[in-house]
Amino acid sequence: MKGTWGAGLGAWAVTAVIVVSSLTLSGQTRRFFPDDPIWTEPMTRDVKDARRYEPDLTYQTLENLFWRPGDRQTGQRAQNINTVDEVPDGPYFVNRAGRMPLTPALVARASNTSDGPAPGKWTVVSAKSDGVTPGFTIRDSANQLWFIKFDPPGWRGMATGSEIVAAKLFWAAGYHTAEYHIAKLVPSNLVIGKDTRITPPGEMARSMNQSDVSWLLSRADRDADGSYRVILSKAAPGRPVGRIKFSGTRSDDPNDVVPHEHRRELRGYFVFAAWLNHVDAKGINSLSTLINENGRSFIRNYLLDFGSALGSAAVGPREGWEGYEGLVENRGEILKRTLSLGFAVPVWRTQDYFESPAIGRLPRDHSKWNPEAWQAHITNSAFRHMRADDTFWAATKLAAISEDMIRAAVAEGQFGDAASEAFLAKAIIDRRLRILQTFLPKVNPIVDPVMDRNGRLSFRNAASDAAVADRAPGYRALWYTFDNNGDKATLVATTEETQSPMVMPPMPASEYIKVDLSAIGGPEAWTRPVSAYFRRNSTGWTLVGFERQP
Amino acid sequence: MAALIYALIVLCSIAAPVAAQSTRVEAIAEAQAAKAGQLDAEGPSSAELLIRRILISPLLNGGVGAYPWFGSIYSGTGMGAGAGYLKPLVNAASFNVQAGISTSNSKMVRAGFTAPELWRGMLQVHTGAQWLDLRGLSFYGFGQRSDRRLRERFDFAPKEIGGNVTLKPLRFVAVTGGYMFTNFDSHRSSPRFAPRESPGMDDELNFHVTRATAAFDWRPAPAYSTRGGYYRASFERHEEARGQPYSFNLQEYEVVQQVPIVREQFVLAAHGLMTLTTPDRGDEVPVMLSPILGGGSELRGFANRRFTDRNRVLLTGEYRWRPSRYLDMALFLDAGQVARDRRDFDVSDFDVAWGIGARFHGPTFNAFRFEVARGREGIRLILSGAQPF
Repeated sequence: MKGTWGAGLGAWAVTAVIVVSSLTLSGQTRRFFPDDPIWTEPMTRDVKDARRYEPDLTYQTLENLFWRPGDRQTGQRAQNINTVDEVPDGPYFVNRAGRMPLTPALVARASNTSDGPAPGKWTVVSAKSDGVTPGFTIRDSANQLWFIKFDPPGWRGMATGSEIVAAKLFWAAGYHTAEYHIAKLVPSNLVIGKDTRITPPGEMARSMNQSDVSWLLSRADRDADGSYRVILSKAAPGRPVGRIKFSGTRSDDPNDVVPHEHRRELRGYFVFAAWLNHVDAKGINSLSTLINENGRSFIRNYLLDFGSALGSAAVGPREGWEGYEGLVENRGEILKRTLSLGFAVPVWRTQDYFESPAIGRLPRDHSKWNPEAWQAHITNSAFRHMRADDTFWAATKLAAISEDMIRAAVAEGQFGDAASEAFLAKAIIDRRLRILQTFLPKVNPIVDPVMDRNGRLSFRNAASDAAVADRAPGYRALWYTFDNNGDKATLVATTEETQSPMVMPPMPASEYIKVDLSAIGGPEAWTRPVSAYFRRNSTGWTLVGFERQP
Repeated sequence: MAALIYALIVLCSIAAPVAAQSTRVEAIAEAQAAKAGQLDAEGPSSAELLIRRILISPLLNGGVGAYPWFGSIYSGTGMGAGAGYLKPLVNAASFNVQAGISTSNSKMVRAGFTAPELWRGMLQVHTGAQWLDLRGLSFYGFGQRSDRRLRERFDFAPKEIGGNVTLKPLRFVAVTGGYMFTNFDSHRSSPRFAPRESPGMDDELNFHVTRATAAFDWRPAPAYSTRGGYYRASFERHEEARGQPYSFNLQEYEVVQQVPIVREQFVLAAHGLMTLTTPDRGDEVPVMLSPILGGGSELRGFANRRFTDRNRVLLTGEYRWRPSRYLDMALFLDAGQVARDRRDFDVSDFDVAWGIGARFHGPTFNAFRFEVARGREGIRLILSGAQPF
């Protein structure tokens, strides 16, 4: 945080580091190490003293709206990716979709490791009294901490169901999420802890009593039998130490060395948030915990609180503007609307909506939805630094989440309204398609290059494989020998084929080769080559490097 | 700053060649080791600390404890500012005290006590007292055709104490009964109007005021809304406590209706207000308690308190459009008339004003309103913290 205001002071130091780095790199360094590509982010240091820091929501909002923290220079490549352009498993992200064999059942289970709270009374240890909808923190009979949230009156299933669906799908995408369960709360099952206190609005803090529970419950949707549908989220493992920052690094975490605005999974979070209309994708809806595992202590970061996702705005149905405009609208748009006497009408005011108590409110038709124009309430630094290769990366993850997986996640919402559930699943599927259509063809979509021992180079076109673009008429490969120690490529030959695989031409003996692959024809972006680097091993060639955009 | 340096080291480690280490993990470990030697506590920046201080300051903390106060002390006294102190008590009870001074050097001290809510908020009891010292209020004589060149200024100093009980039997319905005792005197430094043309002026008067109001309000929020309506009927009895000839009854009817169009991109808003006073036989309604028109909310385009008489009617129509969720624009047309006898109301005699306004607001409150209005006496600028109706 302190760096936010020290950018000017540090300019000389940064310059010095760049110069020193450049000198170090020039001419005698190597691009690839023997352990490349790494698939797990190294966390080599113990986090010994991480204090809890809760950022102020107002400050975060103002900071992102007006001051734009983090690196001023946008357009930089993500810095936490491995040498094959992927995000290693780490404190924010685990490769699931596209890398592990996901199934609908796995997505439905997601991060759950239990069947929910242990049987018995739930002891209220704290309550949320400031918001419009109530919330409790309870301990079950096994002393496990859980957070309880409700649906707002008249919207049974909307907030709780949307949260669980979003959590499952964010898990499938690869993010750390909490364990969630839908449950039935019978008020008589709540016991107030002896030290539990509450600060009702406009009142002083005091011991909580039964009338407080009744008052809080009066603001939740109640079933006819007097029970309440709730969502329980299990306290994340470890000690809370704060929230995800979308710029800079944590000052107390030695392993946290990449500014978060340059982390690909935090940039790509935009795509998943847009997909699920998670407009409240801000730091406060996350949690960082200090975890001790196998004698090591490290910080892991969770995405939480998806109550304002899909058709839900937590306290009511999603407002029309949410997803189309940020918390503060574009100034030019305001001026245009002012001068037009209001007749420059934003699309969200005129489009048709599907609305039901079970899922809230969503546009009825997503076939023309533009994910690039989607806006969270607050555009954080990571979102601002997002590039086409980041959105492509996220879209490839999304392509690996099948329609059946989406339906399985939606079923976990237990909305109790088949028509609404079907609509929601279709909406998510349609939005997924729009993301694939938008982001996959936007860069050269060649993925998964593999070269066998016979020099046959095969690859896929992620855009045409996802049926969101026509096949390229052909491909061109520029073959280089590559001097890893000198980071120098020497062009040997150019070949062309109408499709994968391509055959390696006769090459001089070299431990490494580099292949620049581009499409012949197709969208202009496809003609810009991706670079694949292969290292010879005892059985053939191993992909060690991949660069989609410099 | 440190983060940038680490980032550059890591960038060199991951995305570009590095020589000194033998593995990628070692290269990253080196960056982590470098950072490990320079750790600091995670916490707010100086900017965030400043914002936090501002947020917990009386300016923005919602008025709990001491807080600054901005607003209008009384119609026609200009912008006011001051301080208040709010003490929340159990079960939504509170004690609130305010003091302020306005640009016309008018002063105000008021205190109120809201009793604990009963029946889950269905029954609310409020008591209060206030002392006002109002300077330079305008009086142009009675009637719609009063001459603005004849304006005279008067000071007015009411002291009030009273209370009211509000019953909300249904979500949108409120019935209020109240009593207030008020004592005031007024003073003119250079009278233009004779006593019979300015009843109550320069006298010390005492009133027992009893009120009954029934209101039906289904606007989402009274202080700012784009839909819903508000219907109100009030009856007041003003009984001069010492038998001076100024006792009267007052009826007031108000209608606000807002019609959203294209999902609230546009709002057609209408406001009607009628105030009728009926003095006891042989009595008059004092100038300072008579219905008025003119000012920022009641017949914009005319000076504050421009028209005074026993009765008034005001009709307003607004075409509002919403360029932003925080800014509403409005074209408005006001028409109104004051009359000694309610049978004298005649649409053809209504004074008309029109204009354009910008209103900056939050979801449930109006923060600032700037308007330009034109009437037959010229153009007036309006700055206000409240919505017009």
